[in-house]
Amino acid sequence: MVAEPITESSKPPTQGKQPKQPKPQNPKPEKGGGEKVKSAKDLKKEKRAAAVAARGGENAGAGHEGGRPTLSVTNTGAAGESRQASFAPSGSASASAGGPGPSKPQRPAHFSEPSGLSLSNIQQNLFFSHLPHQDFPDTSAALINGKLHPLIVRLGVLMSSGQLRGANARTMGMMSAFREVIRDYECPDQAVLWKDLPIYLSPMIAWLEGCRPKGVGGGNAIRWLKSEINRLGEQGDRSEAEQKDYLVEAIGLYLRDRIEFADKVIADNAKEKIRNGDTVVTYARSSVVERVLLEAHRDMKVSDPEAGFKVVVVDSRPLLEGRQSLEALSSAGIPCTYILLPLLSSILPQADLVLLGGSALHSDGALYSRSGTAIVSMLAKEHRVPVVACVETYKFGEKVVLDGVATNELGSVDNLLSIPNNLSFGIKPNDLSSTTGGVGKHNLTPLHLVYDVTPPSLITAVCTEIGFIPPSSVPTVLGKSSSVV
Amino acid sequence: MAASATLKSNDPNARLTEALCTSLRRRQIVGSLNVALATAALIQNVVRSARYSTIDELLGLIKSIGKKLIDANPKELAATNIIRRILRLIREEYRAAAAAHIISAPPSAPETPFLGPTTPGLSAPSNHYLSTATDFQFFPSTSQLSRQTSLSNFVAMRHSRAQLERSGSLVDMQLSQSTNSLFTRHNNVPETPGINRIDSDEFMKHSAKLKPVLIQAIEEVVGELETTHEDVAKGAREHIHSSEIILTMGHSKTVEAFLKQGYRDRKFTVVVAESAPSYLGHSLAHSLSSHGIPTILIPDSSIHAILPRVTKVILGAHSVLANGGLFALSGSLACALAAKTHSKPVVITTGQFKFAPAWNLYHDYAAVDFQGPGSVIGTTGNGGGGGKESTEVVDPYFDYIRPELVQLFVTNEGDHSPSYIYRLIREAYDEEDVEL
Repeated sequence: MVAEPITESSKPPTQGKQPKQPKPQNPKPEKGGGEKVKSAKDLKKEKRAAAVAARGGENAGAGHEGGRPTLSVTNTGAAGESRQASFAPSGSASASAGGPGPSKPQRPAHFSEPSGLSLSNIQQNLFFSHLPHQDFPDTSAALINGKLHPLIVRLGVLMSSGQLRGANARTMGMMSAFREVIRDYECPDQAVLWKDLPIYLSPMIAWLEGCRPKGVGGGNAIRWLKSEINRLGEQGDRSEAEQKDYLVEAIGLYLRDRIEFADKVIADNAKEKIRNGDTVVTYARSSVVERVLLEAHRDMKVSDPEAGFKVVVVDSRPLLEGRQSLEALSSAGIPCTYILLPLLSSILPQADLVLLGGSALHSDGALYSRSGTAIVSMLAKEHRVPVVACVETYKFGEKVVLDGVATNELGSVDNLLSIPNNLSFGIKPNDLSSTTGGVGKHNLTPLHLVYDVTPPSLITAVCTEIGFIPPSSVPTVLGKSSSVV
Repeated sequence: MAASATLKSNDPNARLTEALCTSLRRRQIVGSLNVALATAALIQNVVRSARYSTIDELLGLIKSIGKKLIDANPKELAATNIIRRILRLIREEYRAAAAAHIISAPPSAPETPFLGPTTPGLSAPSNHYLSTATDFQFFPSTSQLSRQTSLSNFVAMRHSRAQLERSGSLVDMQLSQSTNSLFTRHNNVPETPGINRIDSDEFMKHSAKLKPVLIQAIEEVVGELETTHEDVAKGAREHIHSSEIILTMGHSKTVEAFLKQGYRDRKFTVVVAESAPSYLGHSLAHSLSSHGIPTILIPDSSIHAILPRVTKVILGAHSVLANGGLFALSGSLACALAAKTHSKPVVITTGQFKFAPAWNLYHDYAAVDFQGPGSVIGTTGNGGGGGKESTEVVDPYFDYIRPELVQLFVTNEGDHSPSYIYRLIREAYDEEDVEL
């Protein structure tokens, strides 16, 4: 077990201090030194604990983000760890916390307190331990590893920190990065390119998945890339340079056709639905919707300078992406109203159309999009305002997702706890740590779900590059496009 | 109804009224309970110290104060609810006291014992001791109109009718007249000055005895207000079950008391939505978790996503309307609608002082209160600011939730379904007070 040596090496510093943590089945603390000879039973226990920790470490709270880089540096040293190891020490703390009953978690004393939010993971694990969590990637280990192209590492850091956000942006970033990787790739002598390249790419794909799950669109893109590589094998002899050129060009065409041109066609289709004097509601930030609104505004002004429409930008915490939308739209001269999500129901009676973007469209027509989209659609239906989702076909997925808890992502909670306007009853993050505050503070879990699922009944129509389709037509489209792609 | 009596401007009560109006207008008093308590205290002062010569003057005085209060803050219905309660109590006490007084004084009319509130439908020959013949101006004019068409009277009427049928002394015409009176609206009867002249003399003689009684009645109202939270929380054991996951938002004191009481007997988890832009959810989450209740704090955008795991939604109300609909903190409509989508029950915990005889049939855009936009797009903290000069920012404070979305009202006087609210309001307030 990879993790096991770590727990061994972490034992000596805790000698005589707090009870050991990788023994969740043993609530009674071991007093005295950690230098005991390990029986086979103990070793097995530790192994199991480490496995749980590796799993549980992925659900560790955002507080780990601050703590982990230092942890990994001190712990891994020159050992060249993979990220699993860095999960284990802090992860096992939460594993013991998630163990039988909410017993007071114990942690080895040589760790710096990772901001205490991890203690509240008890409840987070109760309901959401199956969901991936955004962790700060271990870049030093990744670079030492040597299997990752530096561009990929950079991309992973950008995605994980949230600077690169949005399904289109991430997919484009990912495919462009892979394009460069393929350009730089050199096939070893004994191997064949179309067999070796996927093996070369897979640790990079795994690393990116760990930084930020790629989602349906990204998954479709990767699958397309792999099928292209396979096609090279079928096509017989070409020189390595020709094959690489082919792939690079194919990726460029994919990005152009499936994203950029698709966006253009969607904008052309959707702007027909915006008439003079309408009030259009949009939620958070979608690159497609922004494009639709800007083009509609431009065309409307061209045809009749007096005509125009208004936009209501609905925003929500903690990401507050609507601000960027507001900037872009109001800079173009579109009259905007800005509100937060809970306030929407008072504005909707005056709205004429709701435009939403999405991260994916599942097989039953459910829209997988930024958390809060379902609420916007629900309120719009209550006030009888049509809801149009603008989704490119590369984001169509084959799964059926039942609800917002089945597939989702856990996001960072730091922004959640810091309230703007400096209100006095805000919960300070250090209130949640075990060192300060009383027993009661452990009971609070901040939770941030990044996505949610909008049922197809709430969506009036989906605007894609092949036109307006009802949400239930997704499997048909998938069937068609798989024969094309 | 009576000549609108107003306070003279140098009257200390006028100053108190002005002070309360000002703090209402500036939204300085926060929370329906505080408004109700302040109003009750003000009216108690008025009853104690203002000058009035008849009961109608007093009632008119209180009504004019109520008008001023509702003008100051039209959304704060709790103030006028309390005024309506007090008006009704004053009338009841006055009737009781006057009846007792008439019995002890030399009778100016044939003697009849006092039988409590008149029972419509009960008929007997006029010399029968059960007679309640209408030409008997026994009580002041107000009593004619206060024949409460309450359910208890209806049942008593049926019962007594059955009795009389058996005893054979049924007089059909009178009975049908009284039955009709049960169902017709009582219109405001114009004053009969003669009665009042008689009344005022007698009243002056006995107002000393009457005032403590009235003040006592108002004390009861205040006491009821102060124990609202405990009384509502009594229902917690019944409504919260083990291992429940309860969703709530905002910081309603009633909900907080309800949950804390429930936690004594049951173990459950609470999910609190942070309720931007007031962020009251943070305050509630803090309070509950310090009390030991496992709490999950979510941003409002996650409400729909987390509902599949929630078992029940408990919300507080700002005011409850006569059709069972309610005004609540903005964002509550999203909770209620999401609960309906996922078929989870929605429970509203309120005190009965929030029940208002008002309607919201045509939901006006302006029916919600608007706060300043700074908390939505403010630049302090990590508010961030944004937008250009012409960006419109609105911050409505309340949402209207229609009665079909609510399953249950848990109040300090029992649990009721939204369809019964109109009945409670009918029994709590007098009809003539609906329009202040």
